[in-house]
Amino acid sequence: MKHPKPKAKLEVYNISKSFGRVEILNEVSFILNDGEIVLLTGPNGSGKSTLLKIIASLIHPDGGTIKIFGEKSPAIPEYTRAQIGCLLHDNMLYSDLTIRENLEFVAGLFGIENIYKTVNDIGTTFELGRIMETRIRYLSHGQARRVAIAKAFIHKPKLLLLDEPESGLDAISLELLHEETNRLRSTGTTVLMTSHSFGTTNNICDRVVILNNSKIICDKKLNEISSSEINRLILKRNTGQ
Amino acid sequence: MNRSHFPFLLNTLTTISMVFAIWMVFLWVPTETNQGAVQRILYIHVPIAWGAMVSICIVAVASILYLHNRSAKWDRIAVSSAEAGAIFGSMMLFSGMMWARPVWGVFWTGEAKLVTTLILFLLFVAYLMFRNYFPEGIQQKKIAAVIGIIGAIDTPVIYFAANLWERAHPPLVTGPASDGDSLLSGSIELTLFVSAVAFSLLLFSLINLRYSVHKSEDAVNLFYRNSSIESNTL
Amino acid sequence: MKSLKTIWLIAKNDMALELRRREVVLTILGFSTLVFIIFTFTLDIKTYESQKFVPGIFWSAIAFAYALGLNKRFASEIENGTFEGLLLAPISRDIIFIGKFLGNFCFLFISTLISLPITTILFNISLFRIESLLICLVISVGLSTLGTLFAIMTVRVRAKEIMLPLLFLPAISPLLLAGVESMSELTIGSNYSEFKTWISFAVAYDLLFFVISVFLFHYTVQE
Repeated sequence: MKHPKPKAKLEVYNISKSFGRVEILNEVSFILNDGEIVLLTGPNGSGKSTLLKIIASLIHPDGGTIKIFGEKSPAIPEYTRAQIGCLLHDNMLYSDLTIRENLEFVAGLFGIENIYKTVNDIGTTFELGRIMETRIRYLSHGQARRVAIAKAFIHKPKLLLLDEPESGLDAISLELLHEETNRLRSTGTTVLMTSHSFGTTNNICDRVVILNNSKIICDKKLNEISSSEINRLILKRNTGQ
Repeated sequence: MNRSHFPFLLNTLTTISMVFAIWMVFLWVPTETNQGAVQRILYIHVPIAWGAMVSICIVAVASILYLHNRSAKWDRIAVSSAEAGAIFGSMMLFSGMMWARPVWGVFWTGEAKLVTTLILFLLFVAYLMFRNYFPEGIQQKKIAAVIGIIGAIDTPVIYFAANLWERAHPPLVTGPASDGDSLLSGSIELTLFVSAVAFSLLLFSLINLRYSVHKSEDAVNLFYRNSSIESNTL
Repeated sequence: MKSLKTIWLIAKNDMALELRRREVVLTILGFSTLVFIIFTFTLDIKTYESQKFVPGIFWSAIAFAYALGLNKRFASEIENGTFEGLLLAPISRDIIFIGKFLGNFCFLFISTLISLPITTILFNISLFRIESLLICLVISVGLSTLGTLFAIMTVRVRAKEIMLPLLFLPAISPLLLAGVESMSELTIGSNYSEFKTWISFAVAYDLLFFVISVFLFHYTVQE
């Protein structure tokens, strides 16, 4: 049975989430269109990672709806989930397996046909060729993060969810990340990436969404808002009791 | 009948039936000839055991309903029943041992019913400990529901296994009741029945009481959550 | 077909990890052997009366050791976030559960097989029979089913070291009984029909709880 081609779109409507008495997200809504790279930013504890996990169906929201390629989460079918790539706060790598073994495992889970070639290709893309047979536990934090990014990109997803992808990356890794992200965007992939600051991501993002005090306080195209205004909104503090 | 009158009515009925049951158990029913005064413990032990079994059934049904429609009401019923079941389970084990020692000559045998009730009590304790230790939230409730369902399914399996085991290992009992059950006379049956009604009402009273406490806790949490939203509003 | 491939992929990955770490099998073997050794001091193993307790000692030690091993196994999965990685893959939760179960079953089965000759040597009781293999197989399936389910449920709990045994051991008590009684009939008793009864009971238990666990698993993994 041929599955319908997925639309590269993410729709988030009125998502709320609390942990115990603490409100993390309060009726957060936004839409991502085909081929957009959106930066979701805000101070620490504003709910960026939680929102990403809710979109990835790892956490159930208290209220609201999420649609991924038109399918309502969390009941999205497997062929739709196969189009989503995730990089979360943890690298999600098996420390006692090699880079190659980790990537081959993920490739197998995503049903990739020619696993050996695909793994070699992604290793080349992210310049991991020399260290493919090294176990994750012997890599530096930055190298491990690069492997985790490669893992998220390996199946050429149509929707990428990247949680602080730039943390711990050196200049070369950053450049590789931006290159590959731009390349996927040109094929229609939508990217939602989080960061707690607005700095190096400004040269690839189209839009910025700012979360502060559980709500979205800004959702604008990058050319409609200045960097100083973005930073001011990120740093805006809650002085309530 | 107004919904708010229900707890008052239930508690009143429980009190009346319990007073009546205690009077019957300790003053009205004649002393059994075989086992003596210690036999009176059975009028409390048997209804309590029945209550513990009813509790696990309520936990299982409420858990299934919670997983089906995610209504917090069913989760509160499940946890309240587990709490009541744990109390009834411990009382049942204690009263059973107090009865068994003078009558059977031992505190404990490998009898199927005893083994089942001990493991049932442990499952109640594990359920409640889990709820305490797991961070509060929807996943806590869902996993607790799964534990409740597995515990309820496991209970008859444990009883069946223990019965199978008993066939090969007859219980080692001595004492006045070791040769078989004494005949149930009319007054004994009536006392047992009244006691069963009283302890069933007590079980439902306890469940209702704990349910209202959990409901209040949830309301307080919601109040604090809403307050933090208001203070966060830009 | 794809599901079977994925199940095997998950199990193979776990086995590859175990070969590198040698954590679970060594924990089960080490702990259970220690228990056996302690019982050789505390029981007069020459007497027939003491030998009657050997199947009980065997399965109790295995059950406790398995709880320890499972805790270690899943704690490291949660720590590295690799279990979340599995949940993000486009595979159903049932497949994840069966794959994890298969890996855990292999570790446990291998450990029980190695424990058989250790018990034979320490307690002078012959367990080298084909029926012993069958007992180990059937009991390992049941222990792995509920062990996998409960381990995943309790791994994020505070005091998980006590929480898992507290849930796991009462729940598997009928299976332990079946293991002990069938092994007793084999080694000390002479009633083959009793042996068949207990094995049939254990198989029924395994089937019942495998189906229930697969069905209930997906409720336990999404927050």
